[in-house]
Amino acid sequence: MTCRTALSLVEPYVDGELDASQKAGIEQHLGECRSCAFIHTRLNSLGIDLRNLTPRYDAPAHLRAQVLDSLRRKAGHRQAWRAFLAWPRWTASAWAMAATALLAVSMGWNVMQLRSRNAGGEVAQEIVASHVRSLIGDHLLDVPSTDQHNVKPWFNGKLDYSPEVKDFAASNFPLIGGRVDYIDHRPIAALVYKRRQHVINLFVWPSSSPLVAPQAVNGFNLDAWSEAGMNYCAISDLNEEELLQFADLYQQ
Amino acid sequence: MSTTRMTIGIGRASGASAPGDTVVCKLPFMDEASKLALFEQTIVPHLNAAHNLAGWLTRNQRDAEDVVQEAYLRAFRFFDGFHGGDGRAWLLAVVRNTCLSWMARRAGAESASVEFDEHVHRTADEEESVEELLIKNSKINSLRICVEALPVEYREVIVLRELQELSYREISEIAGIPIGTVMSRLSRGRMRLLDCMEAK
Repeated sequence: MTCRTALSLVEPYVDGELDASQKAGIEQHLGECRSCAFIHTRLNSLGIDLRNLTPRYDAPAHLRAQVLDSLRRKAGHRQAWRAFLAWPRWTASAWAMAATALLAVSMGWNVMQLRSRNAGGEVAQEIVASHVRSLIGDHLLDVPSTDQHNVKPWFNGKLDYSPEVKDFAASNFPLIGGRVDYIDHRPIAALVYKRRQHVINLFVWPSSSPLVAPQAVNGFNLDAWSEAGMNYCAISDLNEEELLQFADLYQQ
Repeated sequence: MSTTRMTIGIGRASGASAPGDTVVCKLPFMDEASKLALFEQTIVPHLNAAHNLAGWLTRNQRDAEDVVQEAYLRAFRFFDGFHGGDGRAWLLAVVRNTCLSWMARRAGAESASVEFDEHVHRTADEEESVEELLIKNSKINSLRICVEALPVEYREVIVLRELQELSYREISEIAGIPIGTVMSRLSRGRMRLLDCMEAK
């Protein structure tokens, strides 16, 4: 075997990719040729160093829990939806009737909602702006605290209502504090949570009409809901799945 | 997602087989619960491999977690395209694609991000490292720096071959490149590593 051939085979040899006859050929050459043997030794020890001396980057324990959790939620949602579609009593005519009824209702609803939806869109824009502003410089927290019993009383005297403050550190959504922001022509509470390096702003304010917010604006995910006369809107650059998980936790 | 395609019975068995490498038959019309159970059995056990690849490609632990989370949801969505075989190689293809699109998105969002990458991004690693400062000149550290300095197309083949111990065939499927390209990239990557280590 020439050195030229040997050099073209030395890496596949180190990588265990040669067949028996090629392997025998190069082993013989390496036994005879000191310069090729030197190159083989260098490549071989590079491989050994890479395997033994580089960090392994194993997944942290909380990541396994988070992955399993979001997979189960995802599977659960898909299961429910499939069961609904496969419901045997949904015959074609029932589908048609349901679709017609839905169309009629939604047209009426659209007309009714046109004004409030526009208003909702404006509020959503203000929420996005506030979220972005909160991440610039030091605007994020007026009261930095991971203790819900510090954050809640801090709002006294700053707002004419008292937002419910919950901590989800146990579910890897730790509370990191709160601030007062000005949205929809009034001061409102922003509760701040974290998921890994992502900030979640949760805006809470009393309102008679529920907020109609888009699910995503400028790459941020939003989730809005209403409960007992209060509007809630969570916003983050976190993925949709985990943001919904956060919203579910808060509503429990 | 043509790159998530799996071939069955590829060449040499990969060096490090992880738990969960069982032969599975996926039946049509499987309900979500059984699909999830199968996914948990065949794909979830390769979490460490997924996180390792994501860590080396993003060069940042916290970003790696995000990518892995996203990749797993994506993998579950495309699980119908998995026809048995090595769950690890199949998952790594998804992780690799998720990483690259994630990095492209990030590069678009932060066009002036080279400095950001180097400094802000790595502070978490550096904070834990009084010790690391002490061994700054050690081989371990220079090796990590040299691998991280490789362009991503060399870095991915080096990591898949040397750390994940996958065959040329498997790497070619994961990265969606011909075997000849795998070999030439590996070779150039190794030359760069050797040069880099010598310069340290």
